[in-house]
Amino acid sequence: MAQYRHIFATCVALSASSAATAQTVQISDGIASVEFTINGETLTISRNQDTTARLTGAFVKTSRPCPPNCILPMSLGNGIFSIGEREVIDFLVNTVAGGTGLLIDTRRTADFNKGSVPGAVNVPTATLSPENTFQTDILMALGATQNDGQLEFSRARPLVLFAEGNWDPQVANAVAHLINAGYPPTQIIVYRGGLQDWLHLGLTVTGP
Amino acid sequence: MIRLVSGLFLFAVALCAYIVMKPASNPGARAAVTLEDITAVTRAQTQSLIADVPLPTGNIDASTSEMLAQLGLNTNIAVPNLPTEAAAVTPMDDATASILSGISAVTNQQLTITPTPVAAPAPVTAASTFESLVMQALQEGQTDDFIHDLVNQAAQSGTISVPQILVTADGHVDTDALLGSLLTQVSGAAPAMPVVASGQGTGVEVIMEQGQQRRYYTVSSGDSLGGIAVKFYGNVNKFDLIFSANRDVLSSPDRIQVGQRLSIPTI
Repeated sequence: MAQYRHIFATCVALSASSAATAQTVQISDGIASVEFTINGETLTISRNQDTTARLTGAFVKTSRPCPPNCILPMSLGNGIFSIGEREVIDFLVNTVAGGTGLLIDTRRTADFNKGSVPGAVNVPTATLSPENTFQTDILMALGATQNDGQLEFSRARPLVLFAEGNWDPQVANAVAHLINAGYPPTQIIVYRGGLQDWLHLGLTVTGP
Repeated sequence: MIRLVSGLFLFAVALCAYIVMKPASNPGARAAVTLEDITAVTRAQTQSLIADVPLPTGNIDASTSEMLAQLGLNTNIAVPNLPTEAAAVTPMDDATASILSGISAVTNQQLTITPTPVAAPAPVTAASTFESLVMQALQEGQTDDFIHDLVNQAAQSGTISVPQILVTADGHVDTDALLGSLLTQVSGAAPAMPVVASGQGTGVEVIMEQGQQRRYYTVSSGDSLGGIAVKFYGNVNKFDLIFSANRDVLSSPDRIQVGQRLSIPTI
């Protein structure tokens, strides 16, 4: 009896270690998770390993009224293009963790607090509008400088902006506000899929 | 034969013993969940419900929160100069402060909002607790009387420190003045200049002195300097006018006394 117990324990140990080294659901072949450090805090992005997992809640809807939730084009004009999750992860690991770029969640703060992409900062679309008395302060935080009362954008940071999903006008409006304020389109990139696509791949989301 | 019978008898006894024992073990298992566990779960649920209730701190006028933050800290200080009709403060200022702090956390920049004296969310001080205590009670829909008792009890137990201008002549907290001020700020309406009746029984006197009309007010119990400012100017922040005009009789904003005759400057 005792020898069976010994064999059984070895089998369990082996299967547990093999589960750790080769996850079923990776980000790309050989990369199960990605770590990066922002301001001393290490963030990890990996994927939900439950192969039966599904989207829940509002993100399962297919047909939101358009207008206002119209299908976003892949390019928002001015040469501004969209990227996918792999590029967002690369951007976080290299540009954001490097301190030069920003991943911006353009949704309202209440939605941001419920969960967002790790490493994103919340700049709600409304705060980028010229109606916000503090629009200039935010643009300067994004790299603009003031020259004789005029804003100058030679050091504008590279930004990746996203919102709820590929139907959410908040990201398009945020881009429009930035362009109208003078932000260089070459420094603006859109993660069109938004939180919906991020979640649809089971990627890590910051908790409330 | 007898062995069969005794065997069956023993089996029956064993079966009965098992039946008797089995139900007794279950209450034992159930008793493992204690009353503490149940109340802990309930408390956790209640706490999360309270956490979901948003306190409209973003809509409080900066000068009010500054007043509450500053004056409550040290009862020995002289009345500070409060910002006068300052730059228009929109609800965006708190939002912007948190946005900028989020961005600076990532980029390691020092970021501040340019217009002053709008500051980042007020530090958690005893006076901030006072404000949030009242705001939470308002949010919960409590009556004015409840808030009055709540605030006075907290002040007595030393949980909060009360801004001097809200200390009444009889040593209580003038919650009416506070609530009026908070509600005016939240509603965003500009406080209107009240029309104050004078004459017998009102405590208000209007006198012609050297060709100028002057007003005097006699303090009654339940009056605070903040409350008197609301009464005459519609704005608790204007207490400074009354305080400055009466420094000869008022050593500090919380030391008003029943029967004191205060000069009320015309503005």
